[in-house]
Amino acid sequence: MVTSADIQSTLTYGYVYPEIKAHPNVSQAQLAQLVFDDVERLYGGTNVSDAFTTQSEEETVNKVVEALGTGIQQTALGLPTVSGKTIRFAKVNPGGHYELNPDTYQDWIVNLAIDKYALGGSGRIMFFLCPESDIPEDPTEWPKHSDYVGVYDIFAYSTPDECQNCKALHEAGYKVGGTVYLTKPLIKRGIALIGDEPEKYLKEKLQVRAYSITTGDVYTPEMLPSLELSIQSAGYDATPGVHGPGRPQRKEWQIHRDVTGGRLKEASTT
Amino acid sequence: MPLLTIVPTFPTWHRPYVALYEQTIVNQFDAIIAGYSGTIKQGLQQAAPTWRLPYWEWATDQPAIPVEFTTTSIQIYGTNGQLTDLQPNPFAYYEFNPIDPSFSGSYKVYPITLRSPSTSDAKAISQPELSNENLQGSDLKDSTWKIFSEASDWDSFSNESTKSADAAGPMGSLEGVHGTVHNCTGGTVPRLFGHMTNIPVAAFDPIFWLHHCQVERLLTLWQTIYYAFPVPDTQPQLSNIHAQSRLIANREEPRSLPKIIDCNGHIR
Repeated sequence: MVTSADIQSTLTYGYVYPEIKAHPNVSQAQLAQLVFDDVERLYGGTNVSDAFTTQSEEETVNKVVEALGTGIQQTALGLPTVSGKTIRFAKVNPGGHYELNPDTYQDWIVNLAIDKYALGGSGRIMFFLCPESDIPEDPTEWPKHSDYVGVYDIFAYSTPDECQNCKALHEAGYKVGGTVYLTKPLIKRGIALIGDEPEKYLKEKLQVRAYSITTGDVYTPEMLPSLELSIQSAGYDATPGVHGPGRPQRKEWQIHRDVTGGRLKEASTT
Repeated sequence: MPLLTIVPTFPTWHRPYVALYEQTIVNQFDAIIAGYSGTIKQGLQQAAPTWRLPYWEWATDQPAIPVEFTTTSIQIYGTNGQLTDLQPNPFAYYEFNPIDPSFSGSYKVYPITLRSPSTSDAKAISQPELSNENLQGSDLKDSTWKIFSEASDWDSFSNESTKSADAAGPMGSLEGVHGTVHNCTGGTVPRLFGHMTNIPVAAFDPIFWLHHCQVERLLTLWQTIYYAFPVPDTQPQLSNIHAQSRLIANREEPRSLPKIIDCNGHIR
């Protein structure tokens, strides 16, 4: 039987991808950097933090707009203003502005973990930033809702008994997990990424709903005992370093236990 | 049959299957080309050795199922060198003949593979525009970028298993993004979903293979970038099928296809 170790190289089966073939006669480390640069050109431009890497203030604004979407200047926030490495964003309720720089910038995420079979098959776990009462009952309306901010998809058998490894991993207590990024939704809603504003806002507005595509059942968090949530934030270390090739080093992720208490329902009712 | 999801070998487990599928297609070439003559035959003979399974690039701002896979009818150049009449597009769906009696639910009555089916009966048609809406609402480009810019160890990149949501930092994975594409393509309407949304029948949809070729490509790019990060031996019960990571990228020209990959993935 072939093993994963046997086929770590694509050349085992006689092929190579264009992004790799394009860089002959370079060292392993150089190839890694070159391919990372290609990948960044293909898929990057989505992080607001990329705006700090630009050479001019105009470029910084353009990067922010690229990350947030070109419609941002038409919103109440308008375009951010830039001075050196400081970006000044509008905030609402209370109004005014707040400033981000490479030292104060933080990404905000919500991690989730859940029993892979909790939805009785394939299904979707969807996140919103709004009052609970604003979420439509019909899950087919959720992806188009203005306060929908992200999804985690479960692609699964109906039960763990349908495959040998599924059963073994389920019995060993493994869950599946993923992440929804909250940074851009917070900025777009005029919530300062710094201080205690994000915690307060998320505690009040972060909502989760799930549904099973397979069975049609709709779930609130309290109906999913295996569901865990973890709000976390982290910036980047201003000291140059490498996370991967050419990437700034992440600061340590901080868990904001007060937002969800690991479970959204408990947090929203206490 | 074991299924390698939520384990560290999720990406590499699929690599031989994609290669085997590619080879199965290539093995049909000689018989097909033999029916042609003249310059068309010469062109096909030159092209055949260079053919590779395409990948479906869904990590874009506006991801969509390629039109070549949604057009229901096509014309091809026949062996006489002339365009044929319109005929069913084999990339749009797979026709079951017969439907496997082990299938469950609507799959018992769907005569072909479907994407975002219109109904749950045998008259259902695919609604690829709904699948595309799903894909475009799922931040696939951003999610893909995050697994390259945030996940620098094999376990967190490769699969979506976890013991806790409190694991420090983002938990996005190649397997997770792959699952989103499965659901979006098959359909996300409750109780009205196509084959790509369901593990036992997903591979019958022709787009499955181009989807997995993209997964395979992203794996290769990630392996090239993070060549220095070893594959940890965190699950002893599965450790026989992973080993130290090493550079997979070789700047050689692609070799010719191996003659035979057997059902166990071995080259003979």
